[in-house]
Order: sequence, then structure tokens, then C-alpha cells
Amino acid sequence: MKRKLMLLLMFTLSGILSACQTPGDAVIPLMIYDQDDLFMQTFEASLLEASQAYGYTFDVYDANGSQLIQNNQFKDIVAENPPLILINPVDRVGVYPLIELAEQAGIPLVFFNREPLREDILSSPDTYYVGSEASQSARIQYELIEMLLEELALDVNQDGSIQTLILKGQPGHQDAEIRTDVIQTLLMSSEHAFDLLDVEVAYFDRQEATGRLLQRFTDETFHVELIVSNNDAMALGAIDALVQSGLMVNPETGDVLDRSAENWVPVVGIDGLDVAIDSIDRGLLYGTVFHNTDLMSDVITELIEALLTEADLNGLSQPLMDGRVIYIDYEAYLDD
Amino acid sequence: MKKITRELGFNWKLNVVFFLIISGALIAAFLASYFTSTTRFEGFSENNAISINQQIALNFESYFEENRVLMGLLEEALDEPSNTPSDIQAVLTSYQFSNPNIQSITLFDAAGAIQYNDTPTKLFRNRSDRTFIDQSLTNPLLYITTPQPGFSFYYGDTDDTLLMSKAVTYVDAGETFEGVLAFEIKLSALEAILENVYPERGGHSLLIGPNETVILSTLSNCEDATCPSVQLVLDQVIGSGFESLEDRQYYVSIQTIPQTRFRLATFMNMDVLQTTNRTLFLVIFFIFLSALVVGSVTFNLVSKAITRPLTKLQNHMKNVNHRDHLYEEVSIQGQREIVELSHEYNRMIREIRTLLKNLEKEEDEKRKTELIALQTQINPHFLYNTLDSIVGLSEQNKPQDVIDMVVSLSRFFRISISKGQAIIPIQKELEHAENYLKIQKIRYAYQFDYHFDVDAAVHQYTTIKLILQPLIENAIYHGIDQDEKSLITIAAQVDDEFVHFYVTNTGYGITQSQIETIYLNIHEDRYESVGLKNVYQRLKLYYQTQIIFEFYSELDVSTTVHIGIPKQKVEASDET
Repeated sequence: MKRKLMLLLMFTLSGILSACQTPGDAVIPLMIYDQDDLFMQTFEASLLEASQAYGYTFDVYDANGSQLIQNNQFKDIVAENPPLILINPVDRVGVYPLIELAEQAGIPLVFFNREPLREDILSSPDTYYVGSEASQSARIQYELIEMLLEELALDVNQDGSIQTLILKGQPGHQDAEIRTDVIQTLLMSSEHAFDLLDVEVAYFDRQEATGRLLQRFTDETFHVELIVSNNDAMALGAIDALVQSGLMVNPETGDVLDRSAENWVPVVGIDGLDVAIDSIDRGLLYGTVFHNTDLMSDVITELIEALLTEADLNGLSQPLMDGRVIYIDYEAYLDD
Repeated sequence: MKKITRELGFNWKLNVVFFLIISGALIAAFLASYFTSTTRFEGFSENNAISINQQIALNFESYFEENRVLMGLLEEALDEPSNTPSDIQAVLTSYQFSNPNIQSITLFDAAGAIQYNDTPTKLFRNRSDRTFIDQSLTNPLLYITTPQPGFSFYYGDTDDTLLMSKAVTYVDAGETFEGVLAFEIKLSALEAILENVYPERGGHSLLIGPNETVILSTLSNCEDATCPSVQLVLDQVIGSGFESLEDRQYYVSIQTIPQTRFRLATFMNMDVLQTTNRTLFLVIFFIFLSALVVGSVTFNLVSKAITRPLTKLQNHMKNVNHRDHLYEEVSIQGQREIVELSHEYNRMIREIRTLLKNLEKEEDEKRKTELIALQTQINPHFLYNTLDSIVGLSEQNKPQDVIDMVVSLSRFFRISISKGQAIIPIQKELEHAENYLKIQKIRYAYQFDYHFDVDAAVHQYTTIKLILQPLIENAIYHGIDQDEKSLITIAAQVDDEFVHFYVTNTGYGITQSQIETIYLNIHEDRYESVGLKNVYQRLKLYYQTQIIFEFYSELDVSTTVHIGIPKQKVEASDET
């Protein structure tokens, strides 16, 4: 009996002690729009790693792609009065109520990856955004295409223009809209002649992209010379479809064809996922626009630390636009 | 408490115990079912309210999505390089025509001046607020939705509308322009969504835009922050929960509509919930109450069926105390065990009856034996004395006296023996007394006289034998006066109840205190006079308490012993 009591006492004490071990160890809610998203998985892992440099930890919430769920989670989180909330919103247009709630509760709010309207960010003194400029990714994507054109003609059927298919993400999604819009504009205004076959909507999804493309290949007259995708997942899905249609790979040997081969179709993605890098290494995917999640995570965690310690934000490693917004540059990624 | 429970009847105890157990169980079951039901119902209502809200939000979302798609398609059409002004006009007209929810389609240039609309003949109202133009141009990728209550672009358009606008690139006669495309979307379609899915009484919905604008309200007079419902939405911002508004319970759910700047608030009337809870409470309560009543009544009947025979048996047993009811058997129908018990009881009663009868018989035998013993007690010394007297008379040569004495003695003994019978006709008893007197008169040398005063009616009755002789013996011993001749009178009378015998002797008489001493001695077994006591005991033995045995005396005149016995008729066989 006495021994049991002693044990109990020891457990209780050790519990109290461990709770006291890191005084002021803040737990920051990390709200992710959808943990099924490959890119967000990478981003989350990199954020958790980056936070180890600081005296706080993340508590991850998954909204499953539903703003409704995220709203409810947000309401609950605010009630617990955390020192700060880091959020990757589901719906960037409709987040102003969240900003309002956080402001009422006096909780600093850091958005990342999906950018709320600038007017909403500026409406509250303690709201920040860390992300990338969507249009920049498209511009780099175009640069990649131009680099390829220096090497290859791409006009396989020699009709004077390059038959191009754009894979678009979710309509209304900021990245999907901007990337599609910008790349479209750049291709149209290019000195090279691009024949834009269509903008195929595949919702950022790999399997969706494969399905859509296979559907197109059922038409024997379908001929494509360039595929530009809003993200890596759809780009890889497109490659899956090309391979299944007897392109990209020598059907007899199973070896990946050389870029100069007639049946090799250039595909360009955005994000720089590990699977995409692998695909580039194998010679399938031509290139991607590297969304530097590691760098972004460093910047986000640095910003959080500064906000928690109320340090001068001008001392951050990246400049703040409008005093609230940090854009991280995209980088071109090719097989050397 | 213990005392009360001990004093309660079997039936009551059963009923109380049953009632306590059943009502306890019922109350527990009642509370459990009520709370389970209400909690479930509350959860159900909450889920219902949430899902209604979500359903409306989804409907709204798809509604806006449809319009965005439509606008996207139109945007593409406007961007056709071959577009002529009439192409643009035609496409706007056909889009407006094919979509009845769109009241107007207008294409503005970058400066905000109207370029085209669906129907050129419509008269454009001058609009000073160009915020939507600026917003659309600053966010070229966004579909901007602007509430415009009570306003429309064109004269004659009366429907309330919502403005949806987007920056577009349009080609007009070979030239490319930046502009803003604007749809005026009729609110009636949204109202229909709200009304169709939210029919509950008192429940209502609000569609609220940014800057606290109420776009839609299914509640009349609820268009700004003065309305409590709107105020609640502005306070809560988003979320859901139970709220009280103007004495009414609501489940309020406020959600954003994706890709718009609108919030949807639904107010589900939970008074319905309370009324339902109350009804539920009453229904369950009545079910349980009637179960309790029916159960108690049924149980009472059952327990009575058990206890009624028991009570009957109990009452019967109480009556047994009265001797009259001792031999009554009880007849009980009902519960098997109790019927068996009553049978056992009856068997026991029969047993007791037999035992008692045997006891009585034994008692009788004993009495008779005692009586005989007492009767025989008298004889010896009288016989010796008489025989001595006869011897004396013979010596004095008085043959007549001897003869008389022997005859009398003979008769005396004949009656004394009476074939062993204890009860003899009174006539015989009187005869016996006379024979005795005759003997004694001779023995006492005629010192006394005797006289019989007998009512003839006494002859038809009987008495136990040898009761007068000891009294006479007593009268002779105590009544004979040496100086003068005394008289012994034997009287016999009958009244309603008794046969009375009086034995009186003249003489000194005795005092009242002496009489009391005699009574005391007779009763207490101390009196030397064997004779009197013997008579008293025999009378008691035979007639029990229904006898008279008393003395009265007049000093210097006489002393009388009075005996009364119950009247018992002579039977024919008693004749000798």
C-alpha cells in the first residue's frame, strides 16, 4: 500500500516536474487545409522540423478540405486562447471572419501558403502572411520551357506551332487561377508559336490527371507536344498516362526514352515534391518549379518566434511587404 | 419505524414493499429513459440544425459556383479574337436569356463606363459607387460579390439583386480591352433556398455580407444590427451553439460560404425541443404512473388473495378462545399453501377435540372415584356406634327398639349402597335421612324430635346421595339441649332453579362470626367437621359451582343449614 502511494506520488511529481521543465513552452495550433495533400504533407514535416530550433511546438489540425470544419476548429482553438495561430486556410476569400475572431481575442494570426485578400490581412494589426507569389511560379515555369526550346524544337509534327495542354488545379483556387492565367498569357505572347489545345481541370490530383489524359488519348488524332501543369502531382499523373499510352518509355526495354526521341513529351510541374525530383532524375519529368518549403518553414518559424517574443520584425531574414507579408522565391529545378 | 413495520399487517407490508421496489425501479427507469431521450433528441436536433445549415451553405456555394462558371464561360467568349460588337451583344443577351436568375449582364470598361449590356434598350441608372469596379480590377482573378440592397442598374428592374463582378479581357473589333463584367443575380432564388429548407416555426435564416450588411433575412424587420439575430451574428462571427434570443431558445449556426464573402446564419427554434421534451416527460410520466397504479392494484389483488385466507384463519383462531367455537372447523379457499395450512389446522382442532374429550372423561372418572371415596367415608363409625347402641338396647331388653333400629339400619345401608349409584331420587335421600333419624333418636334416648316438611314436587328430582345425613348428624351433635327436647326439621322445596333442602335444629344457635369461620373452614380444608366439609366437596364435585350452601342462625332459637342443588329430573331407570 505504502509502496503504491509512493509510486503514485512519484508519478505525480514527475508529471508536475516535466510540465515545469520548459517554462513558457508554447503550443502553437497549426491548421492545415487538407493533410491528404502531398505538398502539405511535405510542408508540415518541414515546419515541424524547423520549429525544433525554437521553444515552442506545433499542434496540428486537419480541416479535411472543408472550410466548415476549419471554422469550427478555429472557434474551438480561439476559446483556448493560444499565444498564436498558424493557419493554412481552406478558402482564402472567406477567411475574414477568422481574422475578426482572432483580433477580438487578441491572438496573432499567421497565414501561410494560401493568401487571404490583402485588404483582409491589413484589416487587423496582428495578421501576417508567409507564402509565395503565385505568378512567379508560372513565370519560372515559362523560363523552364524557354530553356528547353533552346535545346529542342518540340514541334514534332512540324506544323509550325507547339501543341500545348495546360493542367489546371481547382477552379477558383488562387494558385490554379493565377498560374493558369499567367502561363497562358506568357505562352500566347511568346515569340515561339504555341498552340493551346485546352485547359484541362484536374483539381491538383494525380489520378484525376491520368484519367483526363487517357480519355484524350482515346481520340487517335490527339497529339500533344508540351504539358504544363499547375503542380507536380498532376504532372506526374500526366506522365503516368503518357507511359500507359506507349510514350516516354521504350515498350520493349522499359528504358526511359531520350529527350530527343519523338515519343518523349516534355512535362513541367510546380512544387518540387520528392517524387517529382525522382521523376526528373529518371528522365521522365522535364522540370519543376521548386517551392522551397524548407526555406519557407524557416521564415515562418522565425516570424512566429519574433511575434511570441515581441521582437522587432524588421530584423527578420526576409523583408516584410506592407509590414505583414513575406514572399519566398520559387526556384527552377532541372536535371543537370 | 421498526415498531410500525412490526405492527403492519401482512397485506400492508407486502404492498408497501412492492410499492417501494416498483416505484424505485420505475423512477430509475423513468429518469434513465427521459434523460437518454432528451439527450439523444438534443443531439439529434443539434446535428439536424448543423446539417440544415451545412445543406443551405452547400446550396449557396453551388449557386455561386454556377454563376462563377457561367461568368468564366462568358469571359472566354468575350476573349475571342474575332469578336465584333454585335457578337458581344449577342452573347450577353443569350446568357441573360438562358439564365433566368440573372437579372442583368453589363460590361464596363476599365474606367467604369458602361460598354455593353444584355438589353441595350434598358435605361441605365447612374451609379456613383464604383467600388466593385476597383475591387475587380485590383483582384483580377477574383469574383467579387457585392450586396446592393434596394438598388439595381436599370430602371424598371425591381428584384433585389446581388452584384457579381470580375475583371475581364475582351476583344472588340480586333482590339483588346481590360474591363469588368457584372452580373446582377436575383436574390429570389437564394430566398427560395432558405425558405425551402427551413420551415420550422420561429426559425429563421440570415445571409450576411462583409461590413455587416444583411443581404437576406427570412425574418421580417431584421435588416440591420438593431435586430437581435443580426447582432448575435456580428458578435459571434462564426460557430454554432445554443443561444437565447427574446425568451426563445435557438440553435444558432453561423458559417462562411466558401469562395464568397458571405456568412450564413441559421436560427433553429429550440422551443420545439423544449415542448417536445415536456411532452416526452408527460408521456413517459403517465406511462410510468399508470404502470405503477396498475402494478399496485394488481399486486394488491394478488397479495389479498394470499392474505384474505390468512386473515380468515387468523380470525377463526381468535374465536377459538371462546369455548363455543372451539370445535368449529375452518373452510378456506384460495392459495394452495394456506388451504393446506387450514387443513392442518382443522386436523389439529380435531385432535384437540379428541384430547379434550378424553380429558373430560378422565376428569369425570376421577370425580366419580373421589365421590365414591367420600361417600364411603361416612359409614364406618356410624355403623360401629349403631351396632354398639343395638348391643346396649339388647342388654336393656328393649326388643322393639332393637327391631326398629336394625330395620332402619338395614334400610339406611340399602339406600347408602343404592347399587353403587351416586345419584338417587330425592325421595330415597329423604327416606335415608329418616332412617338415620330413627336410629339416632333411639340412640339418643328420644332426646329430640324430628319433623319432615317436604314439598311433593321435589320427588320428581334427583340428588347425589348421602347429603342430608351428615347435616342431620351435625344438627344432632350441636343442637341437642340436655334441658329441653329439641326439634330437628328437614324441609325440601323447589323453585325455578333449585331444589332446596333446609335442616334446622332448635337450640342455642351460633353467632355470625362462627358462621363465617365455618364458611372459611369448609373452603380451606381446615374444618374438623368431616361431615359438613364432605358434603360441600361432593356437591362441588358433582354440581360444580351451581350450588347453594349456607348457614343462618337465630341465637337461642335455631340454626339452619341450607343446601340448594340444580334440578335434575328422575329417570325411569332410577326407580328401585
